[in-house]
Amino acid sequence: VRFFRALRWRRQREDDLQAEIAAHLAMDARERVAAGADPEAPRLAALKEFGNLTLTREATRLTWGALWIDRAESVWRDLTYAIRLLVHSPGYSLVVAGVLAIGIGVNLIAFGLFQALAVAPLSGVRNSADLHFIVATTISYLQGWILGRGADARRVFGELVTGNFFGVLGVRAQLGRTLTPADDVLGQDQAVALIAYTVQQSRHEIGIRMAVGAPRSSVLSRFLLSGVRLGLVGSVLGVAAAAAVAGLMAGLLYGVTAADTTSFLAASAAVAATVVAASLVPAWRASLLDPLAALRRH
Amino acid sequence: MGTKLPADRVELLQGTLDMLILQTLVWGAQHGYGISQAIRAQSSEALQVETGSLYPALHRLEKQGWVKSEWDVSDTNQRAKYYRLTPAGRKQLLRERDRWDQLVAAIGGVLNPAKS
Repeated sequence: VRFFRALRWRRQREDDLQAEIAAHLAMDARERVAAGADPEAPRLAALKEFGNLTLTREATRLTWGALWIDRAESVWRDLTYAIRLLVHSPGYSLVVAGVLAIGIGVNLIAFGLFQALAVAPLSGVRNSADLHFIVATTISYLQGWILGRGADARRVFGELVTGNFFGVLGVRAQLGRTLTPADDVLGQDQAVALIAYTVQQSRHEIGIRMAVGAPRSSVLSRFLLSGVRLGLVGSVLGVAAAAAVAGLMAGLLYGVTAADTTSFLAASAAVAATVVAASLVPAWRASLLDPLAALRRH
Repeated sequence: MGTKLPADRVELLQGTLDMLILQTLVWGAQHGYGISQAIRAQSSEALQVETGSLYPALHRLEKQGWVKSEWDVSDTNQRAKYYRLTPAGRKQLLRERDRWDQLVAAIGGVLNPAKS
């Protein structure tokens, strides 16, 4: 109730001030006509002399003491002003929105990666937050094995583990069973193995290549090349886009030039290094494939 | 923002507007336009009060109880809000004039040391 009374009182003062200003303008105009000007010019001149009407009104209103609705109103006015500015220069707005989107996106991806790799629980592992490195009692060591017999034989990498390995991690098999401590007490030349079920694409193709005599190095370089080619296309597109955006931004920001060769080169080099590193691992794995095994599977 | 002023016009010193308004009202109640005209005329056009300062100042003075306002009709049949000096405003005017005289004397003393 007090607020509404204040609001009504405020409105009355507003009308009062409006009338006061109108009276001022009328008197000013009349004086000018009396001084011998034509009727329309003095009204404009009076308005001009009065200066910014809104400014006068606002400055006067400030002396009344602020109501919270005044503050809300000023926030609202700032907001509409900002929106009008943005609409006025859509190109600038788009660039700003784009830069913000990219920045936020990169942050999201980085955080998502960190979350997935470091914070979130490992999938399929019970209470992974309680996980500690107790290497000595579970995992033994990495070793190469031959899987299968004769033409079907494949080289695989595996790990020697103790029977409690899967139990400690809480990992269960989708089908069949995992190792249990009971497997630790088998006879001397008996061994129990758990084979992961993985699907690898393009195995077939590589198999054919190697079967018709392609050396390992050719498979390696082929995989590397396809990765690097992608990276190159990406770099060129990226540099072009970056140059365009920088050209737009250079006019708006202080101390930024459109063609900073060093930073473009550095960015390209970083991309190239990343691409090579990323394609090296699958390329290496592919080159290790046994052609006959790869073909036979299909 | 630079305001362009004619060569013979001077800018009002900070804090003197209230005093000038109060002084103008010593001669009787006056509306905002009349006050600005009076200040301009009595300063031989040297002082021009911006309305953006005048009306906030008037409302501030009223809030402090140094002037009182009421709507009236002018001799040219124009409804206008007239401001009138209150007793408190008269005292305030005396205080401000005192301070102003001291300031003028002090600055004068610094600028013309021989005379004092």
